[in-house]
Amino acid sequence: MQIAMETCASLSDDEIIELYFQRSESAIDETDKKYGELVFRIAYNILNDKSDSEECQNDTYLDVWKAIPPTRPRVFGAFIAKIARRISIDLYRHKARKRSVPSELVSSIDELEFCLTDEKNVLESIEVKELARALNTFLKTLSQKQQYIFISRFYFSYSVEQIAREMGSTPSSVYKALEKIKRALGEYLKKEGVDV
Amino acid sequence: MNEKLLDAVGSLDDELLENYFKTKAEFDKNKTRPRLSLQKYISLAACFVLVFAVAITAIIIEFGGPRGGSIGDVGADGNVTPDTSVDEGLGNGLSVSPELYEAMKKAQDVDVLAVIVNSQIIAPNDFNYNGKAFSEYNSAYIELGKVLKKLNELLVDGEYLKYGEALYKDGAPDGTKWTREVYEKTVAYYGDLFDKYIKNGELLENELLGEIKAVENARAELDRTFDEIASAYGSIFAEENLPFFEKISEKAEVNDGKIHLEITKAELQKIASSGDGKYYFTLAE
Repeated sequence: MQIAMETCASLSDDEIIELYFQRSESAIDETDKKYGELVFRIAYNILNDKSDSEECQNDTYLDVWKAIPPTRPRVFGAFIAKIARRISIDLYRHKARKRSVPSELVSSIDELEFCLTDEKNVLESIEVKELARALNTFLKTLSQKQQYIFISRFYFSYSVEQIAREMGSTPSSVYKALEKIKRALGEYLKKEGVDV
Repeated sequence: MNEKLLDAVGSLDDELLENYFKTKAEFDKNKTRPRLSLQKYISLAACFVLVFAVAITAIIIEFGGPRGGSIGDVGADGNVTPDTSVDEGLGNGLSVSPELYEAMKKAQDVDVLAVIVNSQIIAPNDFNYNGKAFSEYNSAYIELGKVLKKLNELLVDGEYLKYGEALYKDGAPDGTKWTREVYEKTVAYYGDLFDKYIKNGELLENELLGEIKAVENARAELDRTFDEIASAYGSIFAEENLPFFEKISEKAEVNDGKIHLEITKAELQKIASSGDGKYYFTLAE
């Protein structure tokens, strides 16, 4: 499924946010119209299940409804994507305790971990906050395209083929870019780990 | 799955996510723009409908439509049709990278562009590399992907499957209880892997991780082979197609197994209607 971020009929982000501030229920319809596919795709990449993904979609809208107001997101797409990912991962964890969920999330995170296995002790010694800080700092050293590839793969759990399609590139070049990023990240964390 | 890593990745700065969406919008714009251009092109054609109706329609049908296959799809054969800017207004069906699309948009017809000609596909299915057809490498890659998926799933399921029949009779210590049907179906799904990695009520996690790593490595190795195949086929492709480009370009030569062109925008646009969709053009750096 391709993500269609914009349609001619959809409102601007500011207009949608304004609807939330007015407590107009059409805010959710407009959010769904503009970001429904994106939210579904994020959930589906993680959960690999249509009805679970739809459940996450609805929960995401509910959380957005609760959060705005008072929050006024700067970039609505990023705001809603973050909520969708959090909710999907919560559900993933809940379900994974009961039953396996074949998911792109597992392969993407494992893929990221494998690039660090040589330095596993380093990884284990770093706390989540410290690791998050290092990741953020590292990502900011990357080019815009590299950041896009990294976030698509490891944050939104897109497959390499999906990323290539989105970028108008080939899977092979996305693979190569990912390998390069992972190597650089491994080295960076190793360096950081020495200081921790 | 490493929960620490999952949480850390989940804590990315808003700034990074905001930039992500800006970049995404740019990619989406590149994908959307050609369609808008096509609409404009059709509208323009409509203005001349009284005079050239039949002729224009025939031209659009002949040269303006998509050239087979969905754009940007990964075919069952593993070859990829790049998700290119197919712009009937700008390039008449020309397959170009987003960067070249932007350059063409800014250029005048007489401006010379430095362009690289690529094959649309890695290689034909029957292309022989080191004694094997490309399709065989591709099947192996797909198969390894399936194995990898199953091994990763077993890492999660194995934590429960290790309890054996107790999982549906008494439940796991954390209270999880499967139905007998789910248990049996899951065991059947894993087949030999179940016997290999679940022994004496234990999941042999380290061994399983070792196999995952080995399969990952095998896939990475195949990925490198794909690059070699692309390069080997690319060189043949370049030599075969060079004569065509020599006739129409200011300059055409093969460097590093690829055709490098210096070509006017107008000439480049002509290729689209004469080519058969086998070329993918990128901007030379």
